[in-house]
Amino acid sequence: MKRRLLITVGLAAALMAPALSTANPELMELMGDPDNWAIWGGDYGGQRYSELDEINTRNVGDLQVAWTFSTGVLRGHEGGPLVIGDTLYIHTPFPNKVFAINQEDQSIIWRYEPVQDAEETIPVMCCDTVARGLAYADGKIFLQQADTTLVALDAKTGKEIWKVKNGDPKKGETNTNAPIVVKDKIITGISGGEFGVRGFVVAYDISDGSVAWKGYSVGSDKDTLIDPRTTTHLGERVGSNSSIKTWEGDQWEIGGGTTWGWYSYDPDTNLVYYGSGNPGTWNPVVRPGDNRWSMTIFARDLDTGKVKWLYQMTPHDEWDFDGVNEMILADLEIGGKTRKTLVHFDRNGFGYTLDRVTGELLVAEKYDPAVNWATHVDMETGRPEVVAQYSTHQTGEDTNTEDVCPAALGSKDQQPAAFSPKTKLFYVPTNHVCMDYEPFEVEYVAGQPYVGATLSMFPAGQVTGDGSTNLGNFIAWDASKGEIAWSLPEPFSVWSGALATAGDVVFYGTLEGYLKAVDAKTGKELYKFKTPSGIIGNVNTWTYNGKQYVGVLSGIGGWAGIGMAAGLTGDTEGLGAVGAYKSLDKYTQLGGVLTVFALPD
Amino acid sequence: MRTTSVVKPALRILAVAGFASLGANANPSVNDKPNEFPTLARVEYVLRCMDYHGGQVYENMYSCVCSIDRIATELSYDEFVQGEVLAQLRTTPGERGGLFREGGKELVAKYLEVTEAAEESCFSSIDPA
Repeated sequence: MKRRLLITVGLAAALMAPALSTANPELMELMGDPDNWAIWGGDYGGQRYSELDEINTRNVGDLQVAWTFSTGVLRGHEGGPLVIGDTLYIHTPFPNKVFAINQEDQSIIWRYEPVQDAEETIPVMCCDTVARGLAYADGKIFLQQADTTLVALDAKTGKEIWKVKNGDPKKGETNTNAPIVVKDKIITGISGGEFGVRGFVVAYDISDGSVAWKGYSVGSDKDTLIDPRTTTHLGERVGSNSSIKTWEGDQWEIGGGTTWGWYSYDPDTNLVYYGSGNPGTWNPVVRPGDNRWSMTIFARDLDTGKVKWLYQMTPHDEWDFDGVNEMILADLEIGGKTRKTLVHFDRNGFGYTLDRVTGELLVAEKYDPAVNWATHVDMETGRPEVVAQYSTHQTGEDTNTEDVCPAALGSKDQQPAAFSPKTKLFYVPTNHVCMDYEPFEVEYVAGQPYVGATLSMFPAGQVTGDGSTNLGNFIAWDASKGEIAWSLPEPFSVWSGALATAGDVVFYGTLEGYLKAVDAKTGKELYKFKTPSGIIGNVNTWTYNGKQYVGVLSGIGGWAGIGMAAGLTGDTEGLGAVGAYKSLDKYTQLGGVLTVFALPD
Repeated sequence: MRTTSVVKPALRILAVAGFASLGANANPSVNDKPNEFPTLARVEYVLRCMDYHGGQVYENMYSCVCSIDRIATELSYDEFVQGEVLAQLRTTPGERGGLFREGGKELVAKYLEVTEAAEESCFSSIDPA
């Protein structure tokens, strides 16, 4: 099996070589046209910025609901719609349905529902059965299923073109991420850090699903695709077996560093950027060392997978501060010079600005003043200065380390921030939450949770003593200086991805279900509308027939009570009738809801 | 047919609390609260409530309207919205749900007490099953 795979790869590589430079002009063109929303971040840089300005600060208060679409699936709806021309594509949490919707009448063009083993898959998904979205390229829609199957569908018909298995749920491997397509490759990763899974990123050929390269987060240089002579960490060569040396014995084999976040790409550097998650077992006492390259920003060559540079943000993690949050690529003025930067809001509470060409660390500052586990980041070594009182390792096993800020879910989780090139500000949905954390001893069994810590979480105001009870803030961040420009307190953590537009409006969603629009310069609230349930999806924008639309998924985890039922029932006649879905009324399905907004005509 | 499997046991337990709420309802200062629940929230509640209790029939409409009116006199709209979020999210598995199991305990308790008591009193003469 393995041998056959290798031969296929070699053959594919040989065949593909001449096409590399010209592959996917279509996707580049689609992303360059703000009428579409062709990739999770709006562009390869993950800026989540749109040039559209029909909806602007003067008129956004007049927004109305244009149409809605119920997905029929309960639980948390992350990610957002893709829009390619007249067609809108939307995905759901497990069972990972995909709908292609004709914007003209909001009818369903096709629907795809994969067959997945729920009993095998759902219990090993740590944090709700979410999925963060689809990728489009080459006339195909790509879906990364929860059970790790990556499938390519015909964008016109929804028919399967190929599929590959990217992991094994029996070992705790699952997927929640949105893949990205670059040139002739589709990049995806793996989830399961709570189950001792060893993280990797893999590039498949978009034409047939064959493996082009696969790079692990931890392990030998051969496995990680690290070149000891050329790969650098803050400008220094990492040397041979830089990962394995920082683990005790063979612990790296279940070393974590999963890759469930977002991936970005820069056509100029030809590098793919992403972060790795927590090291295996949350209990830091049993895994001495820096545990490289968990909690690390990776820059890999798209064609070969080779690591150009790395930066480990949280060596020897003691708090579960996964480094997987989005990498936003922007050109910023720093010290009088324009720098090609990568900006990243880590779970650990620091906002990092790096040179994305060299991996040089330019700025590392707290984007929530409550952050207390480290005093600062040493700009020479890149290491956080850990405060002993909040070190769950130093306080030890079976000791409750109290009042650590942020909590394990971070000052920010996966929900992506936005960047406006007009204001030069980043708009960041955040958590304002602290925790008590107690590590305990745990044995590794494949497919079983490998957490080894209990924690409880509470509003940061309990630690800072300022009397506040809000669990979140929506902030504007100056990544050149590392300063908060403005901050809006939110009663709940903000788990929705943000959108910035040329109309100087910034959009985000809240757990109460509000879609909010604020002034990009001042943060002043200009509009809010309560969608059917809490929003943890990303706000996207596009045009149809020359008119600007804004859309977001609502739908959160947990059991719906009476006031929070999953949806309204309309006329349910025909629901469930096989093959009849095309004629189904668009309002009849229960579950998560896509709400699409526009200005009145 | 989709009725009560989740809520009903809780209702029985909270029957006593229901009386407490009714008592509070007689307090003029509570009744003087401005009508701040948006029409959208009331309509949505009534539709979902009717659906939950078996469909759009007059008995359900009267009881559901009674219920939301009662809730609106006892909770501010923000309390209602935030209590609803807490009540749902604390049942989310994993670390995400953990945040809501620890935080907001008072608000969610108040929300559950008021909403369940309102249901209990407004549906008292009708067996929803």
